[in-house]
Amino acid sequence: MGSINQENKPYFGFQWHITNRCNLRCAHCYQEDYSGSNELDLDGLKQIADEIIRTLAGWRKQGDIAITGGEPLLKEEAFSLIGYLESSGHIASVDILSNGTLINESIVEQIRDLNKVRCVQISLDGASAESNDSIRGKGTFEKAITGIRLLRKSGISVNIMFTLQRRNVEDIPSIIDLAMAEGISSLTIERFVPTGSGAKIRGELLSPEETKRVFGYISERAEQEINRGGLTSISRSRPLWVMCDKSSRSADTPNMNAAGGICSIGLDGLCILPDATVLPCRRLPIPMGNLRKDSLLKIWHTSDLLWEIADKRNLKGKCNSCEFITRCSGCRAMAYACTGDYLAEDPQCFK
Amino acid sequence: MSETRIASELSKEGLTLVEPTFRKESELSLDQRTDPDYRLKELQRLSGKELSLICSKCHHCRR
Repeated sequence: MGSINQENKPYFGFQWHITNRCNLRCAHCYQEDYSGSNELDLDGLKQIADEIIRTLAGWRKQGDIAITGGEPLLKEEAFSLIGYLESSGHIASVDILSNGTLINESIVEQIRDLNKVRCVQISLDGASAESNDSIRGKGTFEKAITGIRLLRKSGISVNIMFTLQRRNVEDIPSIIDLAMAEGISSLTIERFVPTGSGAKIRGELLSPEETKRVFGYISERAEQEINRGGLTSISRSRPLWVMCDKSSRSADTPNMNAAGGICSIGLDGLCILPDATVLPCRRLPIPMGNLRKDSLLKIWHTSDLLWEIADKRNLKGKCNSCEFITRCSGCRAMAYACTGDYLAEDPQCFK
Repeated sequence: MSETRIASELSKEGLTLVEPTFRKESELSLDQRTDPDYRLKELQRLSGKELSLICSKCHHCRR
């Protein structure tokens, strides 16, 4: 029982931010502090890894770990930590979520030497230097594309993460074209959540009607790619997407290509910050404990926040009685960032 | 590891300064205290539907 990963084993996901240092200052970033203070050294990281592995063993689950930051490649202990995680039979896979600008042949070689790295996710917020760099900084488009090509050349699976904002919405057709042309395995177009530094640019949020129009277009392109047997999967597995899935609107059981996914807070994953603070999701910045003093078991089984959010009967507004609750339930981070209430209806819902 | 100063770090990070709260073990059933999938199973039971799960990390589809 529980969610099943690609190896058909019960899994539990961790998004582990091992540093908050970053060489970029993207406009929409969920961070505000990039100082690197209070981060863990390798011994500290291994203690957290041991806690994760011990807990997974007790649960008889496999862990899927996403190592990120900040920029995780700035953390000199990153590869030692990943190697340590990989040595455990309870870790199924590791993903690296990076801005891509530091990837060179040496980094690619180190990634290739690892055994359980499933993919490297690179952030791009525009399909050209002009649009991407206006958000992520001058020169970042060329560096990220170079990184993507080095990874692809070595046969490493790449996911592109695109954060959807008003200023880059017109780039959607071309970022899909770019992903296909570059042989990208998966393109994720994620809604911008105005938290952290991003709280200063709330005007970048799309309205529900705008979101509906954009999601509709992306969904059509995703279905075209599926129908033609293309290599690039355009992810539609987040909240709200279910409303764009014509094939599944009346179906209770989604298939692999159906759109829509329920928020996993309290169900099968957690987020860990550089100082070992645990969050329900990186975009929902409400601490639930700290692994320096609280066990994972304590946090997962007894956190009030997790019990409250995972019980969908607590949701408010449109989300409370929605027919799509098992395939959506709204983004709790978006609700919190826009209203201060993480149980409020998703402000971008276009139902 | 060094003593953590969570509140000050969280303040810098823009995180909400709310002390985490936990349910007492006596308020939870044995399954709630031990089954990591309890909430997931409960949601499926209440809805009578299969859940379409995603992760909150790298946003890959988890089906």
